Amino acid sequence: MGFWQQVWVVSWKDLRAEARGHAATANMVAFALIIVVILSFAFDAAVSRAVLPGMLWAAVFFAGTLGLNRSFAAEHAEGGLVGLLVAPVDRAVIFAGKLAANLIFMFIVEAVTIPVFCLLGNAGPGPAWPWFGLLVVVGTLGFSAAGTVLAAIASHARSGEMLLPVILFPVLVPVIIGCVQATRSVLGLAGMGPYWTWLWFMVAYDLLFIAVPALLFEYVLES
Amino acid sequence: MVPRGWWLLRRTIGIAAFVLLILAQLAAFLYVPPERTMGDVQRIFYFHVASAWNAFLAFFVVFLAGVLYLFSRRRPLDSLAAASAEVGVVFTTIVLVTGPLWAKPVWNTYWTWDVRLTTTLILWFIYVAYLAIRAAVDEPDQRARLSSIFGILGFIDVPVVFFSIRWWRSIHPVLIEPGSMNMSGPMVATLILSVVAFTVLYVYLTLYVRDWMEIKEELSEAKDRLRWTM
Repeated sequence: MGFWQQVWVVSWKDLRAEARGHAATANMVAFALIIVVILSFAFDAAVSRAVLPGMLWAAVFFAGTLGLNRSFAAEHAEGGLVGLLVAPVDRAVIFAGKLAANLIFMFIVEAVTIPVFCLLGNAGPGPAWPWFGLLVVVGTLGFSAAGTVLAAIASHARSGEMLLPVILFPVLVPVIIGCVQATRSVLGLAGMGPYWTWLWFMVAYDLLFIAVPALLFEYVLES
Repeated sequence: MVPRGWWLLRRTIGIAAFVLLILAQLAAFLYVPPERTMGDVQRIFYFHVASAWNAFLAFFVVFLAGVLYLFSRRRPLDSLAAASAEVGVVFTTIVLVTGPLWAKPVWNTYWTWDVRLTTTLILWFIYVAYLAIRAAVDEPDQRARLSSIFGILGFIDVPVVFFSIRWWRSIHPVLIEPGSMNMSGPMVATLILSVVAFTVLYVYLTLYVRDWMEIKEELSEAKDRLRWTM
């Protein structure tokens, strides 16, 4: 099997497990939506539209940590990690497969959350929607790449689900700032100039947090 | 066990740190003249900058020791990384406390989302996270491996955080522009003395904590052996 085929097998396993009733994605969607509603109460978004980009990404990323936690914790619980480790594939394949699965879960969450958010916030990208889509892909890739490797680390720890947000969000600061600032441009709260700066910046972050964890992943999974 | 020669060296470094710190205090409070516009409060600068320098040094050591540990699997390297991270977090905390104390009379606010302040704050969070990982993993080899990886990822993230905050600030209005200081000869001399004193203190504290961690590990291994023989 080629590299991409192996990656697909690993992520297909996670997608099937999810489809067979783990229901993490449904929880993530519900959590993201309730965060949007709570932040609307907290900041009175109807009055101050400047808070909208921050509300969206806070909701999506906080909800995303639920899915990341499950990504490796489920393997530990059922002894699935041993099965993954004895599979004759490179450790980077396991990282890429897990990353792809987490990315797809995040896209599902965003596909529901973002339209509802636009509806409730009475805001939208309008004709700039392709740029919004590009930004969502690039930003979510950064979140999932850093999230996948840190979730793997946290899964080895006592109460790892409590550890993950503490170790993940400081590392994610560049992605959060980038997503929020680029979303301001797309929603018409700022010009399109900063959009490209932030997009390229996040592409660089993505590459860094795919390359370095892929190299280090064999050390993460050692046991 | 800590060998006798090593213990003497460590003790000597400790005494040197003590003497240098007293000299640095005398220089900062008595020798150096007060700054023209900021007055006496500017004296905090000598301890603030010395702590900041050592915080960065400490986290670089965490990164380096982490890389070397992953290649060599020598446990003393992991103890060094752990000790350096603990001391680094203490120095970063000193930076984050002395900064606002200095900022209040000079900028008329305790905090501003300036790039250096904000990056230092995120740096503090990253290394608190590093210590949280160490606290949450019990098995020594696994703890060493996972924290080394986080030490590497956290360190390469720092410049990225710095640039993200810098561009973020260039979009938002900057309310308070930190003024530049023209330093006189005695001020430069005091700063250098203070940085050297704090660096020797960093070396002493890190070696001390590292040895302490090694002894703790030996003790728990000895206890395990005892449990098996009895």
